[in-house]
Amino acid sequence: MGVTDAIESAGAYTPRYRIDADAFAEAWGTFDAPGVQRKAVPGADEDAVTMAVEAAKTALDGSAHDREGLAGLAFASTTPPVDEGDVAATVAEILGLDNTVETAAFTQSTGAGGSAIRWGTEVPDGPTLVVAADAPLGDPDDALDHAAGAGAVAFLLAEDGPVEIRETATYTEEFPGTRFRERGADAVDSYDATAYERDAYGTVVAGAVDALDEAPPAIAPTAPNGKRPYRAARRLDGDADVYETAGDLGDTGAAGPLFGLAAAWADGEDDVALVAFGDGASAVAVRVVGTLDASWDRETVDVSYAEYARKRGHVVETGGDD
Amino acid sequence: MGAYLSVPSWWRNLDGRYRLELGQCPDCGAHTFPAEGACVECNSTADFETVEPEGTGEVVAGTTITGGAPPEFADLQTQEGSFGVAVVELDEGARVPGMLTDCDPTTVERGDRVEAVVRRIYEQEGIVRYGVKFRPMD
Repeated sequence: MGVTDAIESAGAYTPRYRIDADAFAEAWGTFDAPGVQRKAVPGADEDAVTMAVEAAKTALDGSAHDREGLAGLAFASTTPPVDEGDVAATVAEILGLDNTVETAAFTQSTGAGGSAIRWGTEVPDGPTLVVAADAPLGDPDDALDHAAGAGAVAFLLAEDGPVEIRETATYTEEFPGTRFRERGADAVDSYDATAYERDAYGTVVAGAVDALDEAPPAIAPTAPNGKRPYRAARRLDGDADVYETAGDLGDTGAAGPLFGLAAAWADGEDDVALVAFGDGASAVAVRVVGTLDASWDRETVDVSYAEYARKRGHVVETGGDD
Repeated sequence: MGAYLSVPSWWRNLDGRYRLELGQCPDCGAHTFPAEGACVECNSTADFETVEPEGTGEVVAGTTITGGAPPEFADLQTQEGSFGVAVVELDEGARVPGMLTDCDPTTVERGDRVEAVVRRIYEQEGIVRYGVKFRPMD
């Protein structure tokens, strides 16, 4: 492992707004996101960058390191505000990190958070913020949009900390047509063959977990909905507990497995494999031992489907002043 | 018509836009925002020392924009409806204008405590302009 293979502090953020599955059912006559009871909805002035900043500030507040002392910043998201451009630099500038900080943006995969953690432990020569922030968007009548949530989680990696990153393992196998987003498109898409998608997820998640030297008692996998992680867990050796937050926050994309890990900690688990799965497909399993507090409690406000559709830009022509 | 601000002009003051960097007067100690020009308290033109505020303060004046927002804010108005704009007195004493977020703007009153958060202010020519807004504190 690298020089910064401990998590010193953590921070989590969710937007203020929530919508219930019932509000979708009322609007569409159906709700197509299994296991999602309610989910977080970003405000129109929020995106992966602004949510990342919120989570990162909380993680920094909980750290003994000050921001000038950070050597690295990794940003992970499937929804960066631009297709090209170093959005990690924007996050670093907003946080006021030193200009010597090394940045990296991990995107194009809901597994990006796992890659960012691996980079954070191996590459920068000192304390590193790893922040995964996401707000996936689908076509309004698609199950992917019914599941789409929002949120961010940040970990501050350092030499020492209450959580030890003990081991990582990977698994890669191509499953074309599982969740993807075409170049230039805002909405994620998929070939939509459920059994095939489940097989891709189950094979790759189990492949990464099985590649760990030691079977973890709990897993926190990427959660495209509130059901798939549990189904996949049945393929694992042993009887691992499963943690996900899709039931309550929706699909938080690249931030999903980090939210799952925080939920596992909140439940008293201290030996967990975070499994960052990205369709296509590949997964990074990161076994961490120890616990930290990363709460995302805040006052929330329920919105109607109409308000949801406006905030997400589904029913309005957006794109700025041009 | 909006008040067009070029990206280089915007960029020149990123520390103020992102973190409300203040200028502290070496003569009287008062804080000025943005950190340029003369001291708002004693009019001294001595060079400021730049300091970063906590980002908390209270609303001293505010209004709600219910329609006719400048074009760069049209999307926000379509998506979020009415939004608030306030003058906030930071705990360090400087007065800062800003938009309100994460609230029903009609419920925010003079004296309410707010904290700075960074949000998308607007997007223009494909470039997102991020900056501080104020959110009511719990």
